[in-house]
Amino acid sequence: MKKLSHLIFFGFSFIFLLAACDKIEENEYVVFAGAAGTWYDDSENIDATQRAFIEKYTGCRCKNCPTADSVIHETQQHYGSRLVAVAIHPKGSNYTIPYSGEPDLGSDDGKTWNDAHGFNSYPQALINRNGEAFVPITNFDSRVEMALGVTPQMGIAVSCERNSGNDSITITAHLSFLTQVSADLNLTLLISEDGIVTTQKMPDGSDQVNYMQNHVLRDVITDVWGTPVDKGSANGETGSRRMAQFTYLPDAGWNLNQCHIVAFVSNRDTKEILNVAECGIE
Amino acid sequence: MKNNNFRKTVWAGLLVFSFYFSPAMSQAQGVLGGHVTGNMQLDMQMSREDSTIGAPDVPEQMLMNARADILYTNGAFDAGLRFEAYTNPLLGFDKNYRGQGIANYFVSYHNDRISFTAGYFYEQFGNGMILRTYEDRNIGYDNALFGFNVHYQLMPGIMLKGVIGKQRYCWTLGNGIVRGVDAEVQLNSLIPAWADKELRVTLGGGVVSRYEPDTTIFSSPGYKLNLPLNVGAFSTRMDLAYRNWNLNVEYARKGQDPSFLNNYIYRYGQALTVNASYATRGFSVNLQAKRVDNMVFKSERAATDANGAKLYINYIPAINKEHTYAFLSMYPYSTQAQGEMGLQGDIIWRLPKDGFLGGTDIHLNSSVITALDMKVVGGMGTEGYTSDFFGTGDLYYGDASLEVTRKINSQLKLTALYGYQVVNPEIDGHSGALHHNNVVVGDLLWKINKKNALRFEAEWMGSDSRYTQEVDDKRCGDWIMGLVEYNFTSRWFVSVSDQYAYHDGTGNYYNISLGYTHNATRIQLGYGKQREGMICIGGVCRQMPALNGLTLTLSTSF
Amino acid sequence: MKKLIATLLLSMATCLCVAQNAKLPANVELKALDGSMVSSSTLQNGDKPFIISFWATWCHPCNRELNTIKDVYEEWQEETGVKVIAISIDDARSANRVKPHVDGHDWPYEVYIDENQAFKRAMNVINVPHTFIVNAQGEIVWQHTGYAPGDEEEVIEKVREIMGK
Repeated sequence: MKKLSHLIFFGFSFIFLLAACDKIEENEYVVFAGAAGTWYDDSENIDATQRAFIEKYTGCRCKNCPTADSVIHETQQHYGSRLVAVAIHPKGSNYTIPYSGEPDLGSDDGKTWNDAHGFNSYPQALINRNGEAFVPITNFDSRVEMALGVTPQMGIAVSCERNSGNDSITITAHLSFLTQVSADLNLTLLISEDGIVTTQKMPDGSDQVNYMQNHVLRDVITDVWGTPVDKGSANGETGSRRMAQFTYLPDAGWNLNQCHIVAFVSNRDTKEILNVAECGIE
Repeated sequence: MKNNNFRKTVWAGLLVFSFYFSPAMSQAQGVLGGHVTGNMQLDMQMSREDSTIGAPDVPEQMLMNARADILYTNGAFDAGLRFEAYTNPLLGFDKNYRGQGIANYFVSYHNDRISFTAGYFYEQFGNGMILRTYEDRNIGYDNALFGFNVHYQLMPGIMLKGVIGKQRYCWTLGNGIVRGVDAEVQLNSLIPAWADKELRVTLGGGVVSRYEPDTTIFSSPGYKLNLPLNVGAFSTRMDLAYRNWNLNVEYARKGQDPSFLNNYIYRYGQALTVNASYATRGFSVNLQAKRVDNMVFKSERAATDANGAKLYINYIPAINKEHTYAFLSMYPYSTQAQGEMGLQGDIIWRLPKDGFLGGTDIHLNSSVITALDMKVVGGMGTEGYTSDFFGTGDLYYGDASLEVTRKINSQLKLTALYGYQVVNPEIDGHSGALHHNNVVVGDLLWKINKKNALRFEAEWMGSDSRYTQEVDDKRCGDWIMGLVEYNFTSRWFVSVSDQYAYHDGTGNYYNISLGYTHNATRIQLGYGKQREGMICIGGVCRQMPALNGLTLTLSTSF
Repeated sequence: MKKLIATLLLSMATCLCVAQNAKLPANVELKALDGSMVSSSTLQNGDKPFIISFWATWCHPCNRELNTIKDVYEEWQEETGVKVIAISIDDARSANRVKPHVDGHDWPYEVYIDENQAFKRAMNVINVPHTFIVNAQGEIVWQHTGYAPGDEEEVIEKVREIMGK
């Protein structure tokens, strides 16, 4: 009997592994990766400030997340625009299931990032994707300080305009190579929204209605890991500048007045972020 | 950081020192009981720049690979530890090995029915067509899985195996998680009534699945590949033995696995090997057929083989005979796991003692390997190609050889060999027309007395390949070689050899080596030139650069 | 973590008391020529010692050694009762050639295939040929790497020594 149960167990693992083989239909081998942009040489002078990108993984049913929100909020007060924050509510987690009748802040792109970092408890955060994940409650200032203290390799600026005649927006990103970067780079654009009101689980276990969710990741405009930076004929040598233009159609349900566009440049292999910029939609 | 590295080095030094110089270590027992055994190997190389053969400049002057294995056994428990140091790696070894540290460790428990290993382990399902992790120090290959491994004998005749882990690549682990299970059933042990049957039947099957997180691979600006995160492969196999006959068949199939090496196509993979043999005392025939189609299976889809084979989950060996005489192995065939078809045959015959030329060993071997018949239907992000199962494409490799060994008297033994080879230079990255080579080898062993022996080897290779500067394939041309090896006092040996491209080729490669062996300890010192080229062991090849200098090898087992 | 394990092993190894011969590894699976699997614990020769020789079909010195021993094997067996167990380390590339090779050369040895070299690793074999002598208690009492003509004399001398002849 015991042997039979062992055999059944083995049989199950066999079938399980056979099932663990993804089948992709022939018409779906290639999919839209997100906006790729049009690249030009650039002449615009942009400032060379080093900024830090903080991505916070959170959820409306995560009771320690409000503490992290207030810590990040305070730090942002101190550093101003040098600290660019995004709140990621990864779809599919128990912590991000919306309360009944409330908007779903869960994001598929956020889930992709979440799974790559391997998070399953929240809050969690990364600064410039330097490989070190942490709970954004203690020692936060010193990490930000360290990220801002490096010599910038790249200057980045982003601007965004609504197009007349339709609901689309045009995003322009400017890159300035402050030192020669030989690694392959990706540019990632995302859109986040402030001031979304939902119920939130609080540290004392209560449910607070009318909690203000800020910097909520709405969509990654480019491919989730970014679009390749076209370094142009100068091939990223020191002092060269490039710009890229994207047209994007935001979801009609978002309040564009409360939205921000975030642009960051990262190393394609290590995914570490070199610099970041943010703008509102004019 | 520097300090830390220094500590590591000191630590490592102490480890090797205590292992190697503590005489009590060898075959010893500790207070806790159990035994410690191990082995150690040191390879040193000093090479100087030589533009005539293309030997590179070595800024370090001296390169070294070192390794020490320690195994501890105590009843049902085993543990092992391996220290490796590449300071810096020998020429031709993957540069990413640079560094030193503990490269492998494991603990395992076993009883009559189950064995369980945690740590780094080596495993093979069937012929390895869907899973084989192994290491070969001579080519610097180690794709050990780091995780858990179980062997479970369900009942006599049924063996189940399971693995899960990530694969080693130099000092890191691959991105992918590898999971697999395998079952093997021996009907003769399972069914009591079959126990004494002359027909021996073994059946087996396994499944392996790899998970790797999504990455973005653009097929064109704005478009990317929709990648399968889980890639599965299965195989089934059968082993039949009846009296003098043997038949072994294995078929493997792999799901969609777009990868760097297959140019990100979505075609499934498959492989079939059939081996049949007839063997009786003094005479045997062996026939082998193989078809491999898109079977590169790695634990990282973006892994290249630029610095040497990397992160293979499966093992698809070459089908042709592994020749060991220098000129016949000058053009080793490396498996084109992307796609190939091959046939191989062997006849080994020992002439009956009392007849004509009685007691002579005759060995006949031939193989032919071709590309698949492929119809390309698209590039990246498509099915890639279609292929007719029985169709063949361009010739990759073909050879035939006849080897005769005869004891002339109690002191003299002669081996003579003739081989013919057709080689497609494109299989290892060269270009040009097919090479046709004729090789003749004479190998004479003279046993002077109980403790002294001389061996002479002469080889000739005539080839229609011509050395040109553009192609710069230093193997081209006609070659001769001579070797004399003297073994004395049964512990020492000295050998002198020279390979010379006397016609339409380039290069003169002389070598002198001196060695000493006592029990399981061996020291060998060599000086000379080595031709650049590929060395292949099993299914894995390594490009060896030219070398002009000194090599020292020291190894011991205890 | 790695250091911890290493230190543990090292301390086990360094506090040595009695020197004693290592036992043959007991739990390694080997493939017999009929395709069945056997455990290394079944390698034995009753109350007599036996020789384990690691070899491969493609290895010239190995073939020289095993062919040479073949010529004197009958005498050895009559005199000492010793048995030779030949362990082939041929992998999937040539494992199917082992049986034809053994039969074709008319070798009288007990032969197993160590297809993924688990036994080779457990026995600390670096290169083939590598020869061991194991006594009746299953302890490894002697080993030798490489083969030079005449080495077989040393092997049988050692066997005689172990048997007290």
